[in-house]
Amino acid sequence: MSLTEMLMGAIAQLFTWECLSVLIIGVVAGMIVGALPGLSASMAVALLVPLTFQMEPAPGLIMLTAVYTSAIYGGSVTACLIHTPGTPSSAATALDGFPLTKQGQGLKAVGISTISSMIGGTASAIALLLIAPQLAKVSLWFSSLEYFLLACFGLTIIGSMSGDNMAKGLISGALGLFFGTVGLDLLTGYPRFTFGIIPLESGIQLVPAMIGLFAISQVMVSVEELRGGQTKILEGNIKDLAVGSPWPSRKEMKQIMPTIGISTVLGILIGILPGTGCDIGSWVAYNGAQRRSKHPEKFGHGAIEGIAASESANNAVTGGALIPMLTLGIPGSGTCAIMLGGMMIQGLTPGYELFTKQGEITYAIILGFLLANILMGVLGMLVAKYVVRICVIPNAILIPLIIGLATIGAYAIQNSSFDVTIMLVFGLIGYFARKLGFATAPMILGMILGPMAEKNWTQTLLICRGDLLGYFFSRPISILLFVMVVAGLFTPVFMRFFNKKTMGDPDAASKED
Amino acid sequence: MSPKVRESVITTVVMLAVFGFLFTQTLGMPDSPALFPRMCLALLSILTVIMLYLDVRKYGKDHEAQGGVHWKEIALPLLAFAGVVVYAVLFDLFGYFIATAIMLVGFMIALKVKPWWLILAIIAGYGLFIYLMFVVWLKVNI
Repeated sequence: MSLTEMLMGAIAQLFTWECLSVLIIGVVAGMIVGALPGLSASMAVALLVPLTFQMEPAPGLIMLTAVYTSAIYGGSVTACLIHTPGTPSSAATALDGFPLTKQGQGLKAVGISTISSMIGGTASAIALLLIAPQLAKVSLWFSSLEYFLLACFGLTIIGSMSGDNMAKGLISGALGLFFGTVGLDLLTGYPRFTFGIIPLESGIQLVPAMIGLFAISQVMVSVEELRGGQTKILEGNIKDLAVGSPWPSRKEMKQIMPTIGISTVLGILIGILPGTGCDIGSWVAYNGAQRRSKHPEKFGHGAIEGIAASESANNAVTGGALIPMLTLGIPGSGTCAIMLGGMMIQGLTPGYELFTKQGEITYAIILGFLLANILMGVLGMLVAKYVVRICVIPNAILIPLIIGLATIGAYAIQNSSFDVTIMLVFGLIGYFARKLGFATAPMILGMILGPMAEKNWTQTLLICRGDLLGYFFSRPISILLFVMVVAGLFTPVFMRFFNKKTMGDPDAASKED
Repeated sequence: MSPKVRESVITTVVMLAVFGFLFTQTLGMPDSPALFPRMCLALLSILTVIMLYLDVRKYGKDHEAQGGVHWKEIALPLLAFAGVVVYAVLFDLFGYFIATAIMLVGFMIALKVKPWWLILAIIAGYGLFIYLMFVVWLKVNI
């Protein structure tokens, strides 16, 4: 069967009532699940896999991929509007989305996030369709040393996430790395810092910790603001918010399009690398956008490029992550690992045959994913005006609702009350961290990358058998990644030096202001 | 000493004490699993000292520099946090729906939400949404 015949067959499969209805259900459900703090894309996909057993392979997997991409987008809505990222991959979006909302531009924040997510997701679907087999081969070149260096490269981002105080940002990141060591050691099984608490042996769960750091700490900050007389996220009335359009102006589009383009490519490439995921993709893209920006000081204070970078990259990761899953059977993210299980139960085996013998089904899934991204963008823009009204809900109502949602979100991941305790502990840590001027986002990054760095470092030490340098110099990708790590470490220092030379001492300037 | 520097000194002492305690926990571990946590704790200790040095250098001469933590400001947020802890305990004892209803009523009355029918409508709407979403659709046992 030729490619054209397979594509025609795929289109015929896609445009059936069954496929289109599960596509719409998947997109809407994904957006809702993604927007709810604590409910991640992987959780939604895991819960939906049993439902797909009763379906034909194409509609079943179309629904899963639609949920996957729209859940990643959905997380940005609450990240922008109430500083509560619905999924870990939207944590970077909250850094600029929420300040923009506080400036009365919540509608624009949601609009930019929607457009960026749609472009990132759609481009990744096209990449999946066109270049899947070729690009997937790259991941085969990566060994544990490269993954270790990749984690180190990710950690260099902390420098640019630290805000005004680099030392405090680095402390926050190092704390995240430390929290990542809690639990059983992967190599020896030795319990570390568990203090006899059995649930801690599986480590500190990322999602409850993130909910605590972002949502519970935000509740406490909101209570403080309420005491100070601020009764809503945004003072003003609903008419003011609904004014205007979620669509960015032509000038703004010009401003964000290069960022979206680069972040999308980065997201796709990161997605292809197994074990990385949307959260890492969004941070790497955010960091890159800040480094390239002519006004890096605006990041963290409502920079539209920050939202565009994070959101286009995290949705681009979704398509990228599907590439190695479909071609090599290597899941590019945790969610893809769950999806892979669902795919194999349907009798679809990843590899060459998936694009030949079962090509009609595979291309129907890919085209369905493409359509899901477009539909997600259209729906997102249509509901943006209504969703943005959340900003004028009085804090007195919003605070208890966030507490309820955060708690159920933390609990529902493993049906565990212990996760609620983790959320509370990290809520308190997050609140005091914010009060003392520590950025909380690097802590999350440290918790994501710490276990990846430690595991791959240990594996590398075992593989190289004492000759680490020899092993390192025998691998050109390692050398390239090492250069990137060094560049990543020193770029902020050089940039500060350069800025001081060209613009004078910024501290002195701010004091004068 | 300005309040800001005093706050930095207290933060540094507390953090170093915690890191020291955690470091003693690694002494009983085999070398391999202890290596990475020790590296993290050593890094954290160095960075904490650097943080103090930078704060003293920046605010040492500014006697008016204020810290971020004031009891008057944090008392109410801490009280709200205590309320969330009580809610978590109630959740364990009575299940999600009863605990959440109590929490919603408690918080909204404390935060002066009026009228009473609005509180009831919010509880009913929220409960229905959670029931449909989590119990019916996602099959979460709450």
